[in-house]
Amino acid sequence: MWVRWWILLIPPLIVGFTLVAASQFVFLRASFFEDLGLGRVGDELVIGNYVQFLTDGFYLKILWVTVKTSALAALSTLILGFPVAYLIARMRSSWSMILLAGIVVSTFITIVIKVYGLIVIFSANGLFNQTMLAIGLFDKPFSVFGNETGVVIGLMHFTLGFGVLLLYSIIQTIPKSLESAAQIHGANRWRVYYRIIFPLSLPGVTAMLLMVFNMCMGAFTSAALLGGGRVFTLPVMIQRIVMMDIKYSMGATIAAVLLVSVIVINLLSIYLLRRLRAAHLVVV
Amino acid sequence: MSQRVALRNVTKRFGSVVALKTISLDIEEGEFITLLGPSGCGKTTTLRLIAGFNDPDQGQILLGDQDITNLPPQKREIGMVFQDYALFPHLTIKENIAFPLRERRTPKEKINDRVVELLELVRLPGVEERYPSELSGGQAQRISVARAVAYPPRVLLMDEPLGALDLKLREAMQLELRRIQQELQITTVFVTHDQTEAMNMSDRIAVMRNGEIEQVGTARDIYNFPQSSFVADFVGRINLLDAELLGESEGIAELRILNDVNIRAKIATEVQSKSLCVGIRPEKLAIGRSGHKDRYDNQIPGKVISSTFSGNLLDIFVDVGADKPFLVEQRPDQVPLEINTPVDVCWNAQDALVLSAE
Repeated sequence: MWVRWWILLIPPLIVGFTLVAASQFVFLRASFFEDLGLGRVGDELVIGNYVQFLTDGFYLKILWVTVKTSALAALSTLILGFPVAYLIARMRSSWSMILLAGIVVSTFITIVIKVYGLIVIFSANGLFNQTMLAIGLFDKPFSVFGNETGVVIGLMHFTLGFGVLLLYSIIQTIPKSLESAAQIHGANRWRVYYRIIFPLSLPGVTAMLLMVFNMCMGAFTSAALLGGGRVFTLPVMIQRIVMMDIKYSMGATIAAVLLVSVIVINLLSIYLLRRLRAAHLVVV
Repeated sequence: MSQRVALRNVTKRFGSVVALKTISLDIEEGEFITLLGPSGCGKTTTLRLIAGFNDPDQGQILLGDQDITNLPPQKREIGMVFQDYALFPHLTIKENIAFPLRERRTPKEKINDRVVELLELVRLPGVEERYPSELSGGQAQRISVARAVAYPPRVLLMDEPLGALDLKLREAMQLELRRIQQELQITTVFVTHDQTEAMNMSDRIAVMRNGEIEQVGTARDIYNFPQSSFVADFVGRINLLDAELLGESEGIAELRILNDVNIRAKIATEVQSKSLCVGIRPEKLAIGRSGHKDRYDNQIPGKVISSTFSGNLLDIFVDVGADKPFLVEQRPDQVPLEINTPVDVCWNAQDALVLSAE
């Protein structure tokens, strides 16, 4: 007898949907009601919370800082991750597997420990600053604590492992013979990258950039720890408003704005890439 | 533009593996030479050294009169056809063919004319705006050749370019590649493990084995006068038997095979090795029912094991008491011999080759 096996999938689907969507719905729903403070929510539908967010320079600046740090972190992940991923993908020895395993393991380390590692390295008496001061590149210690640069470094530190793994899988799909063919037919190393590697990895790179960007937009720990109460991003702000100010409606409003802006930015990027592709400026 | 290539005492090792022992080879201007050998014999390594993808550990590579040993690939002005074609999937056919021209800063108008000209050369006009994924294997092959010769190369390298094609297409492409090579009068180094392909296309063949060149010569030379049992066995089919030299006079050797059969064979090439063997090509063998009297120099008895019909040939395997059955090639219109029929296998002295054994 033929069993309708998919029937078995319905209960977990309902549970999963309830856990994910319903909790989101209940929380986000609060954004449409007036905030009465101390966790109390009014019972009249209003859009005042959104008006407040969109007209208050304070909130808008936080939105901007969040987008900016996330975008910069995604770009730095690409810039730092690409050469690493390229080298590992083109390695012939068993070292590539060891290095990949190292990266996978490092992404499992909790962000808190990673961030404290960063703070140690970048502290005034840390390795980085002592080296830079000794060489004479800096005349005063550079701090990653409580500024946007620090938040970008922290976010990047958090996403670099994922970035390298994603880029590795992309570069591996480009046959080495294409590089050889380009080289033997007159392209030097830089031209090989410019005409072969970059265009062929562009779709994957875009996917990686968006994924890392999305991770950064929602990242709380690195931003909170390295922001040190001076740099605010939307996730940090949501935590503050919900936990310290106990203003659920405003917290929900910020969360909704964060969600919508991430979706809009992703759709916009995909649309732009499609346009470029249609114009044959980039490849599939 | 086409130039001669010379390898002078080139060696190459990868870690502890010796890929090439000392190799020397002179390739004439406009010559089509094939490096032939089983996998791992060093033929592809030799090609990659000429291309510049790997540097030799020792020795010199000359292109024309220039020492290119330390020149990077992009400055060697070489064209190459890859096993997987290596067409750039994100570029149109036109851009693919124009690639070598653009990298050498050829003016735009010139590139356009040249692309049209090259597509005519490879008999595939009008595909400029297509992408490589829209081509069949044979078409991709032609485009790959067009790209390799676009900026007239000093030498054309081909690394098993026909390996991925089916038999009919491969045979057609052999003729096609040879025609293009002749038309352009271009020095060509071709790598293959397929001896038929090598014989069909090449001016000369270099048979390689274990990182060394065993023999260089025309297809006829190598087939008729192999210098070792390896070459004899690799190029064409041959029956090999260990033999003991009893004596020689006037270029004819008296040999003993299978412990008790004395035969005579012509000594065509100098043999230094102590242990010898005789090789007889299957088409030189005659077969007859036991007891028949014929005018052949040598004759050994045996028993038919099997026969296979392949259209143009009838292969008969005969057990003569050696390790491997003797292969006799017959015309297909012969009456097939029953299995287990006692037969005599016969051949003439001048059709047997005295070779150094392994």
